[in-house]
Parts: sequence; C-alpha cells; structure tokens
Amino acid sequence: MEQVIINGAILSANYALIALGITLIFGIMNVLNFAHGQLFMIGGLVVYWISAVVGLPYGVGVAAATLSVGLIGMAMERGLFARVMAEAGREENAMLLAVGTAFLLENAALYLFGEKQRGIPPMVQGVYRLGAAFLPANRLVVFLISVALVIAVLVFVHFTRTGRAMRALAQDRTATTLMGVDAGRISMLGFGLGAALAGIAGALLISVTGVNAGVGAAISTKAFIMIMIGGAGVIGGALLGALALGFAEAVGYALFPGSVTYLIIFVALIVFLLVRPQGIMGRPWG
Amino acid sequence: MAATSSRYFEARRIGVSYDRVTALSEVSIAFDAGGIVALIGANGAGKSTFLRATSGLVALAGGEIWFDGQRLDRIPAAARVAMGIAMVPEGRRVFPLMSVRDNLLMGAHVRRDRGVARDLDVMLDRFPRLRERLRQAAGTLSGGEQEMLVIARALMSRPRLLLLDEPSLGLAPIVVRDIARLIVEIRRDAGTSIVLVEQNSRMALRISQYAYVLETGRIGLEGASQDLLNEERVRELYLGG
Ligand SMILES: Nc1ncnc2c1ncn2[C@@H]1O[C@H](COP(=O)(O)OP(=O)(O)O)[C@@H](O)[C@H]1O
Ligand SMILES: [Mg+2]
Repeated sequence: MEQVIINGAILSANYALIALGITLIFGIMNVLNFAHGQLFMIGGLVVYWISAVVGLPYGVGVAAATLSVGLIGMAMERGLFARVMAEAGREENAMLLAVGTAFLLENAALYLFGEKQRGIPPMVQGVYRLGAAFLPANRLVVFLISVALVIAVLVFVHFTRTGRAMRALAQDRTATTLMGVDAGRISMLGFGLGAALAGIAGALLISVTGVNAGVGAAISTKAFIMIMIGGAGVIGGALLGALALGFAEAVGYALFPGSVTYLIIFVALIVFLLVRPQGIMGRPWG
Repeated sequence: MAATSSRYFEARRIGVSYDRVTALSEVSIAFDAGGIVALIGANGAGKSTFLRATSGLVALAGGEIWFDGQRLDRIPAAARVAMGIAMVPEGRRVFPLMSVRDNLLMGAHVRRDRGVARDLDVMLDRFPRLRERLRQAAGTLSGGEQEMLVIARALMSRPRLLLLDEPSLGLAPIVVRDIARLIVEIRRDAGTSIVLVEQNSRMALRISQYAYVLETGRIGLEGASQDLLNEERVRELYLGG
C-alpha cells in the first residue's frame, strides 16, 4: 500500500511536468502538440549523450537537455507553427504539422542515437525504507526536483508579467495584442517553455526508467490522457490529470501485469469521457 | 503627399480590404489633441475597421495614418500601445478566466514605471464595483461592469489616444449614462483624446465636439457635433427622425 502511494506520487510529479508543458502549448497555440513525447525523448537522450558518452556531470546533462529542447520548441513555433497558422484557416493543418514534426524528431533521434534503450546510472545511491515500502534515493530526488519545477512554473505563470501575458494570450489573442503584448514573441516563449518542460521530464526520468528513440508516441498518448481527464488548456486540470494517471498506473502495476493496466486505463477513460467530455475542469469544447 | 502631418491625428485617404471586401476607401479623418471625436454610421459602415486600422489590427490597403508627428501605419499593433494608443474593442473582450486585478494589470503591460500600483489603486477608487470584485473572474461580471473593466484596463496604459468601439452596446439606459459620463470625465481629467464609435448616435453626438458619419466605407458627412445633431439627414437616418 505504501509502495503504491510512493510510486504514484513519483509518477504523478513527473507526469505533471509533461501535462503542464502540453497544456501551455495547447493554451497558447490552440494545437495539440503531437510531438510532445518526442521532445521528452530528446531530453532523455541528450542527458544520456552528455553524461554517458561525453562524461560530463548529470546536472550539466539536465541543463543541456532543458535548454536544447526549449530551443527546439521555439524553433518549431517560429519556423513551422507560426507560419502555417498564419496561412491556414483550418486547425487540422496545425494538427497535421504537429504529427509530421513528431515523425521528424523521432527519425532524427533514431539517426543520431540509434534504437537502443538508453539509461544512465542513478545520480544518487541508496534506498530509504518507509514502513513496508522502499524508496530509492534517486527517485526521491527526481520527485523533489519535479515538484519544485511544477511550483516554479505555477508561480511564473501566475505572478510574472510574461506569465500573465501567456494566460491572456490563451484566452483572447486580439485583446492581448491590444494590451501591447507582442503575441508572436509570447507564443514562441510559451512553446519553448512547454517544450523545455517535456525535455526536463525526459532528462529526469532517464535515470529511473531509461529512454529510447521510440518512446515518444507512448509519452504523447499519456499526455493526451492527462489533459482529457483534467480538461484541455486548464493548468489545474493538467495537474489533476497527472495525479489521476500517476496513481492509476501505480495501482494498476501493483495489481495487474503491465499491459492490462493501460487496457483498464483506456476503458475507464472512454467511460469517463462519455460522462464528462470536457474533463474535470475543462469547459465544454466548441 | 506631405512627409508629416500638422494635425495631432490624421488618417489620410486610407483604404482597408478584407480579402475581396472593401471595408474603407479614401477615408480621411483628422483632429487635434484633447477632444472627443464621434464616428457614427449604420451597421457594416466600417466604423470598427477604422479603429482596427488605427490600432494596427488590420493593415492599410492604401493611405497613411499619422499620430503626433509619427507615421503610424507601418508600426506593429503591439508597439502602438507603447506609443500611447489604447483601444477598447467591440464586445468588450475581457479576459474571462482572469481576475479583475489581472485584467487591469494586463492593461499596464507596456509600462515599466513604478506608478502602476498607484494607478491601480486610483482606478479602483474610481470604480468601486471593480474593487469589490477584484479577485473574481472577469467573465462573471455583468455587462456594465465588464464595460467599466475594459475601459479601466485601457486607461491603465495611460493612453494619449483612446479608441472606444461601441461601449454602450447592449447596456441598460442607466448604465449607458454612466459610461457617457465616464468618457467625458476621462477627457476632462487626463486630457486624453478620444475616438468614440457608437450606434447610439445621439449619445455620441452629445458628448463629442466633432463627428464623422461613415456610409459604406466612405465619409458621408462631417462637422461639429452640435450641427450634426440638428442636420436633417442625420436626424432622419441616425437619430430616429
Ligand atoms: N474580419 C472580416 N472579414 C471580412 N469582412 C469583414 C470583416 N470585418 C468586417 N468586415 C466587413 O467590412 C465591412 C465593415 O465592417 P465593420 O468595420 O465591422 O463595420 P461597423 O463597425 O461599422 O459595423 C462590413 O461589410 C463587414 O461585413
Ligand atoms: Mg463595429
């Protein structure tokens, strides 16, 4: 029981980074970032490259992963999404673009890193005992960093000038422009921040589960599940979705063999969406 | 054409098109600082388009816009706010999920001075209803309160030129009177120049000094607001006889 709570909390914290990132991008661009899992994957592989291949400290790897994936996100917004959305009247175009970007990133990663599962040794050794449960020190560190980052992002979005402009942009692009906000710049920063969060999630999780070039689609699927549970574009919803998925997974893995867990999660999700299609905190779509 | 303008604001023969629809053509509007200029006309005449062209939300197909000695029409919309131009768009457009306070702070986005907190306080003294609802989501306010909020939000940038697009739309007569009084006070207290677009032509002509009548994308008539109030044609078409 304690083990399930510990595992659920750790998963939830990491998933929260992923869900927050995709929510920021969805809110600002109004596009579901199908490439989100690939950004996560690149974050993990950059850490692998920096610390296992180049031999620099893990912290340097995490910083490099955050920065490079953030820059990839900004480049995606500037070079692809901003252009396509300025030209195309239809949202499907942006969606297809996101899918195409996912393939592009995945193939680039396959070319650069190969298809092997990559992992790095834990950054800290040791295991704590909490009652009947085990808590490896490395997972505790990953958990604490994730929670700290989630709090930092919430503070940024709610209490800074740029964060406020991001929230405004998600609600009304024209009105935000009329406030003197450079909407293009804020979109780029928002996309970059959302991407960086995916990158950092991958950079943290590679020391726990490892990462391979093909993991993106599964991570994107998890991200979609979380925002469907919580409600798309709502930050509080993203966090709720992360908690729900993290604990559902922890409970499922404790009770069933691996593949059954996601079968049950999908069935539960479909039933849930039939009852409440807008998610827990979302407004009805349309 | 002159490479400058001697007027505080001058739109010189401007045209605007949406795809293939021409919304404005050869429109010239000019005024000096510190007055209220009314822009009236039927639905679809191009009033909002004129404001959008001035704030930079739509590009010109032709002509020039000058403001305080500077060529305006090539400057991006966001940068025009920093130059002192604030627009309150049609339909209010509060940020519905943000608090009243955050809406007001968005209005001060372009400001880097230390007076923002004080201005916020002054604004809330002026609009006690907004102070009572400071932490409430703006989407939950009544129509009249939302109109107060978007005007206050625009004032938070300390504009020199305020563009108001149909502030009375959909409001009860008593609230319309409050809004009209507010517009007059803004001009009186801060010397702000105001362009007031209205369907409520009578109110607009009463509180403005000068007025333009737009008719399907062109200026049909212009003159002192007093005179237009008595003009046969205006009375018939825009003041209900
Ligand atoms: N976004 C748009 N796309 C296409 N046509 C538009 C758009 N906005 C306005 N128009 C057209 O431009 C003309 C002027 O509209 P507008 O400036 O909104 O008029 P008003 O504010 O006086 O009611 C109308 O014919 C209107 O249909
Ligand atoms: Mg209009």
